Parts: sequence; C-alpha cells; structure tokens
Amino acid sequence: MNNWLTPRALNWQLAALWAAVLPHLLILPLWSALMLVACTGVRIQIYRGIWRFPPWYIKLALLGLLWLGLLYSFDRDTLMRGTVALLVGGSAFKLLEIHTRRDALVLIYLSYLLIAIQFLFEQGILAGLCALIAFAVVMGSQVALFDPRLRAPLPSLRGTLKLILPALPMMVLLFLLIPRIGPLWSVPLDTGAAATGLSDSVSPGDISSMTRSDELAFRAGFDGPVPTNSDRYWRALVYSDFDGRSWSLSKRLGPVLETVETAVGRYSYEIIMEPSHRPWLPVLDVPLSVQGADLRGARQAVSKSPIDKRSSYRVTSASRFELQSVLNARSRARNLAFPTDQNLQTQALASQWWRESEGQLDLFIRRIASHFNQSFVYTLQPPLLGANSVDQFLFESQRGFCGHFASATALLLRAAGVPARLVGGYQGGEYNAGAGYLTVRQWDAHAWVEYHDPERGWVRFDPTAAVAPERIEQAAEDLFANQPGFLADRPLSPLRFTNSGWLLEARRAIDAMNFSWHRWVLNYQNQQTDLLRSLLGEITPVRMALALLIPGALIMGFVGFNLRPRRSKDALVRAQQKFERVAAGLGYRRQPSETFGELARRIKTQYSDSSPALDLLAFIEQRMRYSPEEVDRAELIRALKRVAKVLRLESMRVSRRNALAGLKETKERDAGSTGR
Amino acid sequence: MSVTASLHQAAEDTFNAIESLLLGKHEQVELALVTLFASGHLLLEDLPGMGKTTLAQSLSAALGLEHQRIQFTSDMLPADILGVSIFDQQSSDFRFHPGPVFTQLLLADEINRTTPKTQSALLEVMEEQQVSIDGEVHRVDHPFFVIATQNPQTQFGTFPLPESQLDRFLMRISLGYPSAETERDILTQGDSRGRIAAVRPTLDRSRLLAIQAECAKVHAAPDLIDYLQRLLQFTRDSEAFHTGVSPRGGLALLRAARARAWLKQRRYVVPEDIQELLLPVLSHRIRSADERSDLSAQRLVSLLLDEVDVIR
Repeated sequence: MNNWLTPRALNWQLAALWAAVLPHLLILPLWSALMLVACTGVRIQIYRGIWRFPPWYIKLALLGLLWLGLLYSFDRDTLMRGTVALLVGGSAFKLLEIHTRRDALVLIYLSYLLIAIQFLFEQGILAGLCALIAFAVVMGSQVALFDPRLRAPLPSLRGTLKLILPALPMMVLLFLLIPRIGPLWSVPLDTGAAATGLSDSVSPGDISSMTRSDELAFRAGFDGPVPTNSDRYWRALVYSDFDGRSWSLSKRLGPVLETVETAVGRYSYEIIMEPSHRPWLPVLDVPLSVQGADLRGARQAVSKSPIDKRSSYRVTSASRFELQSVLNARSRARNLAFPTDQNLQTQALASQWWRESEGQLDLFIRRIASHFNQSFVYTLQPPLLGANSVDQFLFESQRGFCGHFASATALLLRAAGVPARLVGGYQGGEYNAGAGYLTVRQWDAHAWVEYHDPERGWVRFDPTAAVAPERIEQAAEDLFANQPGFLADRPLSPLRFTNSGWLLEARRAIDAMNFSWHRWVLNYQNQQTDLLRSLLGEITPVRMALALLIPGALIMGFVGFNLRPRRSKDALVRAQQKFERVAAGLGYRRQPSETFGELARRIKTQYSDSSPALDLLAFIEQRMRYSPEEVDRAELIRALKRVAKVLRLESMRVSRRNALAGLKETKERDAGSTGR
Repeated sequence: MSVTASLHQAAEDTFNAIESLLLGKHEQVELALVTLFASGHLLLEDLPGMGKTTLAQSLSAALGLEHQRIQFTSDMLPADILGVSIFDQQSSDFRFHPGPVFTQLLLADEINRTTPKTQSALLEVMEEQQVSIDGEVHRVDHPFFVIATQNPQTQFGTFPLPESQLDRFLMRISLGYPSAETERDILTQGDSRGRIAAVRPTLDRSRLLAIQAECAKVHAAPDLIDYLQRLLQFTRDSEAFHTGVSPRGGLALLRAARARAWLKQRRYVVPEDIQELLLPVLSHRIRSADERSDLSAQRLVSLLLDEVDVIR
C-alpha cells in the first residue's frame, strides 16, 4: 500500500502539473504546450493500461527533440525563458516515468518550483492569485498522494490545512521582519532589452516610427496636492552634449548640484518604479530632495544601481523654483557648444531671430513657439532625416515628435548664444482619484528643453506644447488613440477599449489595487523600516536578530510541542513504546498486525542470547491479553522492560563482536598482503 | 485422557486422514475443518477437477457422517432438493418424501448453475436448519454441513449468488492448483478417490457435536474483541471498502476464530486466529469501493492488516 498510486492521486498530479505550468505556457512557444498535452495523453493511456511505459530510446529521442526545440526557439537574450521551457519539458517527460510514490513526489516538487519561477516574470496580483490557486492544487495533490482514503474525489482538506496552518504565522513573521536584501545575483530577464521610453541619447532624425507602448513606467502616490496635467513634467535625464545629430548625456556631469534658490509649491510623493534596467529615476521638476537615491549634477535623480526590480523612492519637489541663477563658465560653455559646421541654415535662422527679437530672450522663445505653431505637424511617423537633421526638420519635413522639436529648439537657443539643454523624461500621467496616485506609462515619455535665463536660472520650455498643446493638456492615450503608432505592438491591449465609462472606472480600480499590492506587498520596504522602528526603536543587528529569533522560536516551539511524541501516563504503554523503540533500532519494526509476543519471536531468530526473555514476553503477553486467566499487568511491564534491556545489551555485544571480527579480518588481510 | 484431550486427538486424526487424500492442501483442509467445527457452511470456488469432490467425500468419510450430493442444473426445482409430499392411496394421506437435503453432509455441486429460486431454497435450509413444505416443518438433522462448490463466475451459463446469500457461507475458499512437487506425487499415486472408501471414520456424530460445543466455548478476551471491532469498524470507515462488514460477518469471524483456536488446542482466541481467517471469512463479504481498480479481497485484507493496530 506504500508505493502505488491511486487513480485520484494520479488525476491530482496531472492537475497540479498543469496548474503550475499554465502561466508559463503563455510565454513559451507553442511546442512546449503540445509536448505537455502529448505527455499527459500518453500518461492517461498508460494508466488505463492501453499503452506501456515508453522504453529508454523513446525517452532519449524525446529529450533530443526538446533540445532541438530549445535551440530553435531561444537564443542568448531569451536564456531565462529557454531555461523555463527546459524545466517544463523535463516535467512533462517525468509524467512518462512515474511508477512509484517517490517519482510522483519529484513531480510535485517540480511543480512547486515552477510556481515560484512564475514570479520572475510577473508579480502582479493576478499572478499572485494564479500562483495561490496552483499552490492549492499542488498541495492537494501532495496530500492525495498520502491519503489512504481511496474513493473521495477531493484530498482531505484537514490534511492540507494541517500542513499549511503552522506555516502561516511563520510566513507573516518572515514577511514583516526579514530585511529585504538586494539580489545576490541578477537574472537576465528578457523583458529589459528594449522596452523603456528613455535612452542615454536622443537622435530624432534616425527614427521613422515611434511605437507607443502602454507598459507601465512608474506610479507616484502623493501625500498632499497633486500637480495639474500641465505641471506633470517628470524629469529623468539631462542631455547636454550635442554632436550635430544626437543629444547625449554629459559624461562629465559632476556631483555638484545645481542649487535651487527659491522653491514654492511643494509636492511630496513616493514613486514606485517599474524595472527599467537603467539607473535614472524620473522626478517631478524640480526635485529638492530624494530618499533612496542620489541627486547628481543638473539635479538628475540616479539610483546606485540599475533598476532591475520594482523599487520605490520618496521625493520632494517644487513646482515654482529658481534653479542655478548664476552659471559658471564651464557649464555655460558646455551648454552652448554645438558643431558649427552642420545645420548652417538653423544657425542662420537663430541669429536672424535673435537680431529681430533685439536680444530679448522672451521674444526669441515666443518666436520659436510661433514658428512651430505655423506649419509644423506633430506625428509619430516622421520621415527619416539626412545629415543636417535639424535643418531638414525645420525647413523641409516639418513633421516630428517631441524629440524633433526639443532638439531643434535647443540648437536654435545655443546658436543664438543662450545656454540650453535637452531634458528627457515623462510628461503627464493618469490620475486615479480614488487611490490618489498617478500612473505614468511608457507612452508618456517626452523630451523638452531647458534654457538658462540670467534672471530666472534654468527655465523649462516645451516646444511640443506650441505645436500640439493637446499633447500636454490631455492624457496621452486620448491624444494618440488615432495615431498609427499608438499601441502598435499591442493589438489587443485592454487600454484600447477602456477609455470611457465604467470600463475606465473598472480599469482604474484594478490599477489602484495593483498599486497597493506593489506598495504594501512587493515593495514592502519603507513601511517595513517604519514598522521595525516603531517596534524596536533603533534598529541594531542584535535587536533585529532578537525580533526574528524570539517569535520564530515561539512558533517552532509551539509546533514542536504539538508534534512531540506523547509520553503516556500508562506504564504499560510506556514499556511497550520502549520495547518498540529498541526493536526498531535493531531493524525490527513492529507491524500493526503484530503483537509484542510475535515481534519478540521474530527478533529471537537473530538475537538468540535474549531468547529466554523474548519467549517469556510472548508467553506473558498472550496469557495476559487473550487467555481467561487473570494476569497482573505488572508482569507484562516487567517482561517488556527486561526484554528491552537484554536486547540492548546483546545488540551491543553483537556489534562489538562484529567490529572485532572486521578488524581481525583487516589485519589478516594486511598481514597476508605484506607476507606476499 | 480427558474428554477434551481425546476430542483433540480425534480432530487431529481426522485432519491427518483427510490431508493424506488431498495432497498439499494443508491449509484448505484446516479451513474446512474449522468451518465444520464452527457449525458453518463452506463455499468452494474453483475450476472443475481441483479436488472439491474429493475434499467433500473424504470429509464425510472421516467424520462418519452420512452424505448426499446434489449436482445442480439449470432446470432443477426446489422440490428436487427439499422433497415432496405425495398422496399415498393406501393411507389416504400425504406422505413427505424427503429430498437430498435431509442428510448430515451435503455436497452441493455447482450451485451457481441453478436458478436463483432453487438456490434460495437451499440457502434457506442452511440458515434455518429446517424445511417447511405444505405448512409442515421438517427439521434437518444436526450436524448439518453444506459444502457448496461453484465455478468462477466468468464461465457461461451461471447465476451468480447474490451477496446476501453468499453471507450464509462461513467461508469461501479455493483449492487452487497444486505445487509442482505435489502434482508429481498426485500423478504418481493416481486418483485418490479409490482410497476414500478405505478411510475409517475418526469421528462420529456425537463427538462432532461435542467438538462444536467446545469450540463455541473458547474464550475471547476483551482485548481480542476490541481488535475485532476495530477491524470491522475500519471496513466501514475506510473509503477502500464499498460497504462495511455487517455484524453478522463479525460474528462469523469470531465463530471461526474460536474453532481455529480450538483446533490449535488453545482455550482462547489470539489475534493470529482472526488474522489468518480474514481472507476466507471476509472475501465474499467485502467488495472494493473502486470497481475499476484491481483491489482484490486479498488487497483489502492486507490493507486491514496494515492499518489496524492489534494492540492499538
């Protein structure tokens, strides 16, 4: 009865594997799913006795096929998914060689692993729920495996609960108290390669088609007031170097902060950043202080390491400010530099306008804006631009997106002798009033210009607002919905359909739930620090250790206390348990159908020195338990104790004798070999 | 020599006499005697030619019982086995002509060949120890021991006995094929039927009744009753069993265990008696819950042995 599988156990096992694999199948190639279906089918046929277990060469061939499939479908960039496909394939093949309970256990442990792996790719609530269901099914199958009842369709609920309940308080404790340590090594996940809306250089002329992705960039939860849409400029990157075609980050951007001289209208907020695989952090223009990251030169917020997992940081920003009113010579020079041999028309235009505006910066800026407003078209499908990209944009194509406008504006400003730079980040965001936070997606990625006004410091200027003010005032999804590039990579994105009415409400509610989930579960880190502080006062390693060890020890102690072998009050039961222990130590485990007398008789064959005591035990037990005679229990207790003692002595003697014999044998052999 | 001792001696002689005729069937002969001593009936399930008739005949010869044999066929009527009342013109009265059941040892051959109606007539006699015909009650002799044989039900043209009627048999056993060695002996010695006539009775009616009375008095200690009850309870609680064993089944098990203990010359029943009898006594009373699975009675019994602690 110990090793064979009941039909129910088998059904549950198939269900468990499927539950664990299903989320993976969504991202794995089709042949993985087909393989699993085929293996399941074969397994069922085997169980029904129609087919036999496949021989080794078929298994080997299957393995070869799996490797071919892996080589075909995956490469170095998708190594992680390939590994998952390998694991899924291996689990499917395991179905073909489940003979005993042990094999079944291997499959169940694999299923647990597969569930855990799911979180490498997806950590939302839905994924959590899926994992929970899958976990329940796998757990059920594990219980079903050991459930002696053959007919019940469901595994014993009580058995499952018994397994889970003691673990729950431990889980809560670990979740609350264990400090979140960064990953010891990072897994190259496939999603990081190309998705983000920001990069370390901007060259608008090289892009002919922008795809606006609905992927989440970050969420920001505000403590107080929330900025209006036109104030939602999320600053991430400052591009100071221009080579005539592309803007790139200044490599010499020092640690020295540009100073904020007046700051009005403070916003305090927490940002939960999705993995971008880059260190730059978007913050509202202009950041005053950042917790959990550094502020570098030009007031860029930079994380110490690339954001490979969802992380959070707190920022305080000011909406009205004066940034670095006095520019030092070096900064000034850097923000005026441009290759003078390119884009000559643009340079000429700049000097013309500068003359016309009589050196007044405001007029010059207004000139630029009105120029864009006349005949320029905002589009996500601009034409490719040639060598003098800014010239071509300004005088020929006149079509482009924010990068084109910002790039042209910055060059115009520099050519006119006004220090200017390109800023990349996000603009806008969807406000979820119920939960009080903003959702910013990759399609909100934006670029604008900062120029230096000697009186006001660095001033933000968004030329895109001039040509397409709706880009700034409306939500990006409303604006772009009719543009061909919008969601081009996601034909079935729910965001296509949920722009109005209750669908929008529902989407926002789900999003709010996700936000709380990220904030309180996945990024439970700042809150944890607060909790630990309020519990422990100051956080010291000793206090941390105590906070973990004491409740942990209590829980484990409680569990251990409940699991302890109960010491019976009955002297007879104690004596019996002792005898059973001694006998088991000698390799004689009492079968349920065996009386102690029968066990004694079984032992007698090997431990003949103890046979009088063993015989006596058998005799007394039979008389006491089953004969009509009245036999005192004490007699049986004595006999049991005596047997336990005698057996222990004899077993020691036997093992000593065997050891001596072994020693002697070795010696003889050694003597023989030296003599030879 | 005390009475008990002489009875034990006689039982042993009987055992030896029968065993010498059924080579290699030590266990089955013992079970047959246990059934007889426990005043139960025996169901032999086997293919033809396995020695069922030899067992029955040697039993009746060694026990000194008068015996009858009925070969059941599909056109047999209850009257064919129970007897009929026939009008006697001389005495102007109905006279009862007893059928073959009015005997001490009845060999009912291929009981599953006949119709349920006839089967139930026989089974009623087995249970009630009497025959009622035309309002008159005719008592069957005591001891009354039925050995019924049936072919395994996979064969054509059979009427399987319903479970409620299988219950009337204390045990169901099968003789099975002999071992290679035994078979060589059988082939050398030739048919043993000729030798049955030479068997001299080692028991008689009165001593058999005395043995049956002694068996019924064998002590069953509270510990043992507890164990038996736990076994029965397990068949009712475990999902492996289609239905639990009835109290009547439990009583049958205890009755057989007592007879086995007596045969082993013990004055009390030990767990081994019950464990050894689980399969023959319960095999026709239990059914696996899962019809499709091949959980035979054998497996169910080993489940019982593995799961129910004799000591607790």
